[in-house]
Amino acid sequence: MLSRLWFSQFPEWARPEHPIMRSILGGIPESQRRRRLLLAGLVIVGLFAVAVYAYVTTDALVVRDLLYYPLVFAQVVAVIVGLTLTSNAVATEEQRGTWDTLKLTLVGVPLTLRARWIAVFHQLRWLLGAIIIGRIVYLGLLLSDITEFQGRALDLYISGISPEVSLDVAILIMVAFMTAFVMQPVVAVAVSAAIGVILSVTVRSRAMVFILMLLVIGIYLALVFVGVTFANEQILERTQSLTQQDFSDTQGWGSLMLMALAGDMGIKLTELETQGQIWADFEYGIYFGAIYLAVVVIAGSIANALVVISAKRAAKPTRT
Amino acid sequence: MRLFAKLLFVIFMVNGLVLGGVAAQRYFFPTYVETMLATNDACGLDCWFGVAEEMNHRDVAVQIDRAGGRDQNFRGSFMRYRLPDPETGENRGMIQVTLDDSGNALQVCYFPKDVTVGDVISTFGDPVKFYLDSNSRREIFSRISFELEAYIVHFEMIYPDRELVFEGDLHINLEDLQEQGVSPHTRISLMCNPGTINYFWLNNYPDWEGIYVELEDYFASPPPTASDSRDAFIDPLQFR
Repeated sequence: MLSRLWFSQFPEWARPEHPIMRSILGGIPESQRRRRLLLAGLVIVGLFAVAVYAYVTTDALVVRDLLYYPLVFAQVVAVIVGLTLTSNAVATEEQRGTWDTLKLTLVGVPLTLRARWIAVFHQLRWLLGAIIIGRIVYLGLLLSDITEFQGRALDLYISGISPEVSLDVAILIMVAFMTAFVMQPVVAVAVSAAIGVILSVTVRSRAMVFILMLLVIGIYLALVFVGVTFANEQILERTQSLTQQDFSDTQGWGSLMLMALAGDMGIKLTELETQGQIWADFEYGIYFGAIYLAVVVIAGSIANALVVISAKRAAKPTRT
Repeated sequence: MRLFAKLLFVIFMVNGLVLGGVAAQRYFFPTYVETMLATNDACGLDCWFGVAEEMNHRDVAVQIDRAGGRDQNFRGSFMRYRLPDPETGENRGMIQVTLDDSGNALQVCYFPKDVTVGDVISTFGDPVKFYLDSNSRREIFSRISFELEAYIVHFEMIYPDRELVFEGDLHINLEDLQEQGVSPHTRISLMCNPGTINYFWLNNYPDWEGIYVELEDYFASPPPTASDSRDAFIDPLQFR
């Protein structure tokens, strides 16, 4: 019932029962389906147990630490798998011998490429679901921070910041942050899958696609590493090394965006105290949540545009 | 893309509702300080534990008994009480009422165990002055880290317009004062109201700038050598 309602929101060609989508997704054997369900069940029970533990012990710090690396790892895996699933889109069709036929039709190529892009979300739905549930646990912890001081915690953190904002604006910005935080893994997968589509369309040699894919993954992993370590340290830990150098607002904003967009995708920023420090330390830091949402929306739009452009390019007749 | 926009809208609205609900908590729950000070309707926050200025010491005893205070000792011009948690019986702090020569209440002070800067600000709003007493610093010896220059520094939060003063100790690292601010979780060790607060150096005290603002801003220049012109407090904890 719920899944029918969910899929009814999709364009017809993006629903799993559409012939193109069926041919991409293929059938899943019963044993594999059961294994996936068991794994998903275990993840959900595990996260639920962690949430209950957090509620009972009120030790949010332990929960944050416990979930942090598994969640970052799952996010990285989702992004990389998203890239690999689409980077051979054209090569796979060529191997099947359907590419030339598709090119003869009016909408065959664009539809197939867009379907392959959307299929990534179907294929990664369990992983993305687990990631989003994990991130919702962090949002729960953030909300629990906001309930401190009988719901007056936000008032405290916006006092004395530059520029001054009213509580209503601060709440709106927090809502924007929370929205971006939930949407970001989906958008990250959309972007990586779109890059995969571009690779498959622009580079025909499989070996070259593989090398470029490794390069993209390498750059991404480097960004994640820098985001999780150095940027985290600069923003959160403020070690003594920082006191020896000037830490300008530009540097701060750079580290902040790197940490939020590539590092742990904003997980560390779900601590209200951290956000409060950012608001006090950086000029216009209070607007981080709004900027974060804007970047996520723009990234989503860019991913969509990249797929549309790649599909148009691929649909052009090949010169012989 | 339409699905993305729909999803974004739905998540935004759900988050808005949840966060709005959380923030609306303030309209249903009084602050921790208000609950603990057992203020009465007649004088509100200006009258803690029901003790009003110039109240006879017998009436003070009755009011504090009503607020749940347990008689600790009565020495000269100080009446001291212990405030147990009504549910657990655990000690929540000490109340000290200073009497004038005629035996009337002059000042009520509270030495709380678990009140924080955040609790105070969410009750009384932003203070007018915040002062870090650099002369009071005491070194912290840490077994883990020897290289950090960590100190405990005394601070005062002042609301001169309401004659309120709050004091406590702040853990600071002198090497990077620019990177540290006042955490809302910093514990308050003394709250006094109302009274004869007559701050001689008040004009030199730095203005309150906010939570997590550089600590450097809160060192008075030139730093006063004594905090105020009141009679020195005798820490009631030493009589335990």
